[in-house]
Amino acid sequence: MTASTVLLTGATGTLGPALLSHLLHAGSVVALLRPREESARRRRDAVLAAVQRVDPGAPVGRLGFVAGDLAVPGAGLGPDDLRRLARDVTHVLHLAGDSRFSLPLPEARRNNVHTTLELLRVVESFDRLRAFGFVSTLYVAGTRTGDIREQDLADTTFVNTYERAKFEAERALRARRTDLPISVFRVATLLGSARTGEVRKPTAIHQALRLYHRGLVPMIPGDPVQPLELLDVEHAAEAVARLLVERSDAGSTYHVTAGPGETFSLGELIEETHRGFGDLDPAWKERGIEPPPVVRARTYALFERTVEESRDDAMVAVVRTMSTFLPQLIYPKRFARINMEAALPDWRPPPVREYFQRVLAYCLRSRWGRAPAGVEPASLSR
Amino acid sequence: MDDPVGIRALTYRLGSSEATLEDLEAEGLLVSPADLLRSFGFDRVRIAESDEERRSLARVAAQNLLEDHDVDPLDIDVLILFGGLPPEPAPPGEDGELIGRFRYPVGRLQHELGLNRAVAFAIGQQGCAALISALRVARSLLIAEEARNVLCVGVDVVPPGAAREVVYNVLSDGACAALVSRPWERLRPVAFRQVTKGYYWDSPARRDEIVAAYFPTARNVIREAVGAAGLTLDDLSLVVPDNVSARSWEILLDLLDVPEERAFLGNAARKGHSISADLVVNLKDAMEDRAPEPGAPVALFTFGFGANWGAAVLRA
Repeated sequence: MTASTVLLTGATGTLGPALLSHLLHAGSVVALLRPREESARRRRDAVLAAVQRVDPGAPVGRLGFVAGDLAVPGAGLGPDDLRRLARDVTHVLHLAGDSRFSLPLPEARRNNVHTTLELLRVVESFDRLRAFGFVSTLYVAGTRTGDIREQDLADTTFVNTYERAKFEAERALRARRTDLPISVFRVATLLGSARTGEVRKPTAIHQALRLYHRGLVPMIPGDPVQPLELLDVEHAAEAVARLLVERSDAGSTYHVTAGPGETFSLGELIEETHRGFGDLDPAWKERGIEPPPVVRARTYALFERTVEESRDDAMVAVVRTMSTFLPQLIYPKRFARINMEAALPDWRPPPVREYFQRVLAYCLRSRWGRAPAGVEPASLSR
Repeated sequence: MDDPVGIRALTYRLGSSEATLEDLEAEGLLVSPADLLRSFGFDRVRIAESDEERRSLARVAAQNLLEDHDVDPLDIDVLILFGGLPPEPAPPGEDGELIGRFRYPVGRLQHELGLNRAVAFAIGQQGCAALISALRVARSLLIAEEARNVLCVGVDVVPPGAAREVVYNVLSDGACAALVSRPWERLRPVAFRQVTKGYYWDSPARRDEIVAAYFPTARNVIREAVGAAGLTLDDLSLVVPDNVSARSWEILLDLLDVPEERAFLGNAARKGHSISADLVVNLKDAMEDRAPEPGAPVALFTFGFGANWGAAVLRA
């Protein structure tokens, strides 16, 4: 098989640099970057630097860039760029998306569904296209509970607009599977780098950990024994890259999860977070913050309603932030990984326990992304 | 040494005048809208009308207890005065000497009640949780055989014109008295659990953190007190709450998995939150209303700014 040429969207996101490292070792990559006020050169340099930080040996000479914007017709690609891509690209990996949970639905759709449809229109002219990979979320399963198979895509209700928009995008892709080699990679919640603990872009789980550190999480809905699907960035990137370039069977969906026994239960996550903050931040330990209890849905709903009614602006803001994702915990699921194991039997991500404390340490050192992580703050608390 | 220690008598006295939430709202004495506070379980409060009533609430409550239960003032060995609101310091003497500041309310109360054999001291700076400390100290003195009768008197009066709401809780003026004696078989305190977290001492600055810390700590404190009594939450026949927001009790009982019907709720609406007197108010009313079997386990819990969480388990 000839070397791959991958068109990648979302290179600047959480998974971008780690994915680029893997993809560049397999072939060449063209990263689609949105034109912004910031100079194109500076953005390219930032991507290159991020890749080299992840993998100093990455063959970055194989990385090219093209300016484009999936929010506009034709992705804003010039005719020459479009011709070149149509001629060269063998694989497309659509990683870009808007993972904010609190967006109004029209905006979530615009940034996750419409952009995907636009990319599909663009790639229709790609003569050599062997695979189109779409990076999605496990939580297109919404409020369903129990066993979720990789082929499942059932209409349901959703905890936030992100889940719903990703579901709609998958549904749109499924309708095109007969004429395009589409695969879907539903990736677990990314904690950070297993190697360094780095969190490139804090997401909902980091936001929850931050609120916990600030002593603002009074309770968490769910069941203490339910497993949480957490994964490190390096292994998520490896899996997605390999599934796309080496193994992807068009039409398949993959649950990119660490598998049973390698992740935390909700109770373990709370326990390890508490222990970690206590070990890493003596000032935090002195505050005597109790681990938040895991409560029934109705208890959490009552608390949520009480805070809303109180009109206490600060607490309302905290609860609204938590409520964009915590309610997912009251819908326990087991994600089957039959396609995943068949495609990558040798893929073995490390247990979350091995790197979780590194992620916490990074979050505290970087003040949840607000300070350079190398700088040791005088006090980690507040 | 093995004589049982129990609460022999309870009484309370609330302000003589009643005001509804709407009355308070009209006078600008609420922070939150009346309808919101009503949805949180409040309806009316009791207010002491005159300076004389405000000054005499504690004395009247204690006097009633002594008279109603035929207790000779000279049989009281220890007087403990407690309160949630910090007492305003007495003004200095006319010539500015600090001696004026030593006009202690507890000494005056002892004198007015004629408790001439009693040692008198005060417990404070624990917000609404002061009663738990008073009961605990009383029980320790009695178990150590350093006393046979300890009179605990609590009082809180909101200064005239001050807002009658603290973090969605609507305040009454009230005083209470509890006589803890040895030997006494009923209402025996068998376990206490108290937690003070000084980090939260600056309540306005830490308000949101206190709201978040309240539930997990309250749950643990109650569980630990019940465990220390050799019981489980299922064994409790009665939970005596303080008169804070009924909604917060609904959430806390849910967290504990204790059915609401086992808690004596409802006094917040009828009587308001009389700060440190609440637990005596509710324990007395609950004993009359629910009449638990002798020896049945009863849990008391309250929270006080500062921040203090306090629970006690009694045998009815």
